Amino acid sequence: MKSPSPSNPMILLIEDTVSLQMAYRSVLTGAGYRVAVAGTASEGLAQVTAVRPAVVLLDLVLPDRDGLLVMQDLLAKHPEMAIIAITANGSVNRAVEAMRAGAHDFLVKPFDESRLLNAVRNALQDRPGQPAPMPAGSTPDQTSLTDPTGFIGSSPAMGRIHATIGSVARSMATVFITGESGTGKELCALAVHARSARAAGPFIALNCGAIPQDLLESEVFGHMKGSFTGAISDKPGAAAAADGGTLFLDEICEMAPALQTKLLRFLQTSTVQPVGATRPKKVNVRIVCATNRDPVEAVRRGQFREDLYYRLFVVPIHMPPLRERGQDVIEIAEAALHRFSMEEGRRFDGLDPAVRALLPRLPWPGNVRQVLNVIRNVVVLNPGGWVTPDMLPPGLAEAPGGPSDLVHGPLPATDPPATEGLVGLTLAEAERRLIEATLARHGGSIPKAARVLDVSPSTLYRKIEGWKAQTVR
Amino acid sequence: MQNSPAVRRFDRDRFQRLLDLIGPSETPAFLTQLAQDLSGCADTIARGATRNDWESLRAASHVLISLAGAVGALSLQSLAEQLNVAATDGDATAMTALLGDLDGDLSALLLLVRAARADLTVPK
Repeated sequence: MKSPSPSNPMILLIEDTVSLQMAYRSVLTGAGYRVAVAGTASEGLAQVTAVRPAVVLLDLVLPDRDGLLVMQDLLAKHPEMAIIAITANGSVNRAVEAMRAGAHDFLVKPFDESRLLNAVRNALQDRPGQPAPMPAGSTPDQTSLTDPTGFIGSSPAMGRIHATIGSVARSMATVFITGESGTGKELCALAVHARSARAAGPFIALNCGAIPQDLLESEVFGHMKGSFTGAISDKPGAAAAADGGTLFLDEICEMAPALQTKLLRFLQTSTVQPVGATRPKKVNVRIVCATNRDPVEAVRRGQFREDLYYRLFVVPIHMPPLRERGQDVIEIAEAALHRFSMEEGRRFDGLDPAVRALLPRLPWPGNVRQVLNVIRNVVVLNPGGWVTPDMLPPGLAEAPGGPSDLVHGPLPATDPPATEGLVGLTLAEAERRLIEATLARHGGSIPKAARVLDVSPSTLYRKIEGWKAQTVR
Repeated sequence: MQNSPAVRRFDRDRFQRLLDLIGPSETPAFLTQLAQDLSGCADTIARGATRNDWESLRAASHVLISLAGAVGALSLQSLAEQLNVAATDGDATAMTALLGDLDGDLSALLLLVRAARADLTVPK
């Protein structure tokens, strides 16, 4: 039985179309790999035993057996094996199933030479015994680049998150993070990147909801000098800047439909074409995305492309709200207290028992971000010592479940239902009234109104600009 | 990208790149096999279409997407992708609407591949 040498690894290709076998084998041998080929599932399983490949390229449509079942058999016997699932365009949901079942990566036919070689190279790099490149300046024990006060917590809920990150970080699978505002979605994305084989590469974050939609294409894909008014020089774009690393797209559901189409093309081809460029450029990027909306609902409403959703929603991670994380709020608050004390040059002894009893009982609608703001408020406004309930912001120390919310400002008094006044209006008119009333309630603050309405500030800006344009006309 | 009068939306550079990767010693065997595989797809699609055999149509279009895309026959690739969707959905109307163009493009590609095999040059 031959063992593949580390310098000349064996790749097993399980593909039933002979001319495609010849084409892929040529690409792989040209790159220096040794290649074994099988045309059926049974041949493939026999070859795995015979040649012990480092990586298996497995077509999911085989003449004698479903490729997914073959993959499950292979992983049951060889859990360390890196399997790259191959499917055709139009069957991406099958590739998603394969990723969830343990495939390292997937390729969608037809794929080009560089995409194939990149996938194989990444799979070889991620094999057990191949250490992941560590970030420069890090120690072997450091597993996260994240802010230590933001992504900590030993609750069972966070234990499941850490376990999921551990199992998916080293693959190329797209990660889709959901969760309320302030739950640490970007920190989760950073944790995925830091534990991946790409940790030495760039981590580029882009908030799709914070950038005007007419500039978002340029921000994602770059632009050439002179391609539009204001383009005074070439700009690479976030996707190109993330080459070799991770691209984090936050508020992905805020992306306009036209740009969603271009993002889908990018995901399918791994190429970017800056605005004004004549030629696309290949990039090697792992995608992590996030939203605080319900992506299924966004698809149902026609605001998010279904094919893009399936392409992105490969490994879902739902960040739990802080109220479901038990004592994590204490860990986070204590870490924040230590960090902010050092930053402000103050000395605090810790949280007194009354505060430790109170914090887990509060609803924390702003989640982790709200806790950090509260603790910073305590540190800035107090000289030091033990943190007592009277140091907490007004209203926060009221009875559990009380309505106060320091981050979002005092809650308004509840109004009697006013829906009667909306009946008979068009949906657009009712929406405008609600938005204008919410803005008035919060002193005209668009960010505050956006949080209450659970939309991004850019969504409100667009609507307001649209109303103004209608008024001008 | 040049438009061959025979093969619509044909990426000649992609086809030549593929032959370069295959290498001169293997190219004759590759082109022969490619013609066989394309012909197999054509036969399976023709048979499957007459019987609404969605499983066969799905499998054949899956192969054809890969073959057409690999050699740069972009119009044929697109039609094969549409056929794959129609077969997955069991949509006989959509399938029927595609078959004429798909058959034409597939026949044109077969002619091109056989011609290339005959003279081992990329048609100009």
